[in-house]
Amino acid sequence: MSAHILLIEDTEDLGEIVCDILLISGYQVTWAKDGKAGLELFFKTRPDLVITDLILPHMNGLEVTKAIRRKSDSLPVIILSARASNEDQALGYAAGADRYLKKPCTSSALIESIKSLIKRS
Amino acid sequence: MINFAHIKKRIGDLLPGMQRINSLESELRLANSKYELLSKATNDAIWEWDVTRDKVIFSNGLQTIFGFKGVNEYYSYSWWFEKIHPEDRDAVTVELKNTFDEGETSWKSLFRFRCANGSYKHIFNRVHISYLHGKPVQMIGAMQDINERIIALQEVEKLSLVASKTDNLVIITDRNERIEWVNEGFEKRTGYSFSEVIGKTPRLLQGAETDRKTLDRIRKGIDAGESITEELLNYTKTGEKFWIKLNIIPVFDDARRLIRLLAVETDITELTDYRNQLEQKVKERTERLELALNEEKHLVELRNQFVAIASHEFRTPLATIHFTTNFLNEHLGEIEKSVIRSKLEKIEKQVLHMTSLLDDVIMAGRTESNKIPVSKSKINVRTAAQKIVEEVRVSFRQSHQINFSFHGTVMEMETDEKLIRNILTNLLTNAIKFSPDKDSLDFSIIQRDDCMNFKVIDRGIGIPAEDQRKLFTAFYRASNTTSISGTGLGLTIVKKAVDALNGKLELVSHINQGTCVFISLPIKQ
Repeated sequence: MSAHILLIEDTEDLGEIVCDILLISGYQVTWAKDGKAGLELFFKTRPDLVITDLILPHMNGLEVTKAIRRKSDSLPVIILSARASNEDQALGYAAGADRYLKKPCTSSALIESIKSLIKRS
Repeated sequence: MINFAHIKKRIGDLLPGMQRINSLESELRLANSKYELLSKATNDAIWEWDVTRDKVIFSNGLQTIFGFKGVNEYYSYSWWFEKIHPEDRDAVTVELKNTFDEGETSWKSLFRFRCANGSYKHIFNRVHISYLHGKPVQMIGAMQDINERIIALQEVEKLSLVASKTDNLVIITDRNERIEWVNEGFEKRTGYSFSEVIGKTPRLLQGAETDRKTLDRIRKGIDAGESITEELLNYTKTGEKFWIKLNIIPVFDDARRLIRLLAVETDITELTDYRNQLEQKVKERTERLELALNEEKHLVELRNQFVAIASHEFRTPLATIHFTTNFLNEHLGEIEKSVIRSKLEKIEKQVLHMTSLLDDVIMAGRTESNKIPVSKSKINVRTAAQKIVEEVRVSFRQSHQINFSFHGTVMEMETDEKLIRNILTNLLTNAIKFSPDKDSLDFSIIQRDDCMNFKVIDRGIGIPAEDQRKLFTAFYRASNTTSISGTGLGLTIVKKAVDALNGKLELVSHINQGTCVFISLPIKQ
């Protein structure tokens, strides 16, 4: 059975192409368009990995990551953000993220990260 | 044969005379020693002039006062007269002649007398004259050295001249600070005459704005018997203010008891004014510098914000483009043509999005000196607005209902269509973006006289009061927008466009209640 990924991304076009890439790479995808919906879907669908943006309506990516961590220590979380500063990166890791990918990145970098994190868990 | 009896008789005849001579001698000796004693005691040069034989004899004083050796020698009148200062000689000659002519027995005079070393001393000369048959035969006199007193007197005269003629204000008070004397400078500056202030205290110069703390310091200084220097505001008789630099010197007697106070005051009003002007200038310059510095800081901040926000805003479309090209490259053989076309359209859309971001940045960066150019054309504002409403609604996937209404008889406007589009797109986009939990907003255009009034009302998150003032600053974002992406350029651009079209902009907002933006533009530019 293929792994299930929850994508939380509010930018329509970006969310769409990320879904395309994940699907064509053989993953199941659930896409949430804001932080609150993302967290709800996390509880409902129990994904194997979460990819989240940082700037999101209702609940930002850091809060989502922290909420996930309170539930599970081991679930892999990737932050995929346009915030590129070292501080943002540090905040992301402090919230409990396993990877911090800066936009723009290659699809192979995203897939490699997913593969290594799923293997590890 | 010697007639002893005759000799005896001669001696007998001479004896009384000899006895007289003896007694005269002793009298003379006594007189002489008295005379020397007197001359020593008085420290005067006593002299005696035998007029008929022109012989002058001096006491010790000739040496002690004037430094001449040869006391007890005889001198001539002309020797004495030549020692008198050339400027005083005529006076002495005239006085002496008058005295002789009048037959006066005493003559007093002041003149300068030359010493052995060539210097002159002030002398007070007192003389007693004896006459025989109306002619002076003998004069006896005392030359008193009054040099130091005269010099001291001259110093005092000079000082009092300085004190009375100086432009400074001079006040002398008694120990109880009652005025004893003031100079002309005081009368001129204060408008009070000497007779008005005598017996009063200098406090009559003080007024409402005279600094109490300075007065306290002066009081302390006076009580401690110290010299004081202070700056103080004084008032003239007519109430005019003037600044003085005040120097108070206490004067003590030998027993260190305060006897009077001497105050010298310099009018420093001009100086103070000048100093104040200078201080004001320095203050103004500093303020200007600070302003420039703040502006510079602001620009640096703006640049940093630009780097942070613009890079962030550019990264998202770039990511979409990058992922899409990766996707197309890696799976070109597997995907259908129609999918490829739709992906390419997505890339194009992102490029357009980035171009409009760039336009926004350039527009927001326009300054006073580099205003937005206005190109006029006639437009139907109702139709144009309707079109923009639709575009915005579609771009947000119909997330919100936009209640659009138009009121008025004139729909035509002579304006810049691009700027109108910019204004309305930004306002409507903001209204939707910042009311994520609501599903509608109101947009009305009301034509009134020669104005077109636009009003956009949302019921969204609102703008905190403290942020409202800064909203029109490029890249500035309100504190409650962190979860909503944006450049912080929207309202900056709206404001610049409204200004370029000679319009007015008002904004009313309450947090968690919503925001109303009102814009009024002239129908004709």
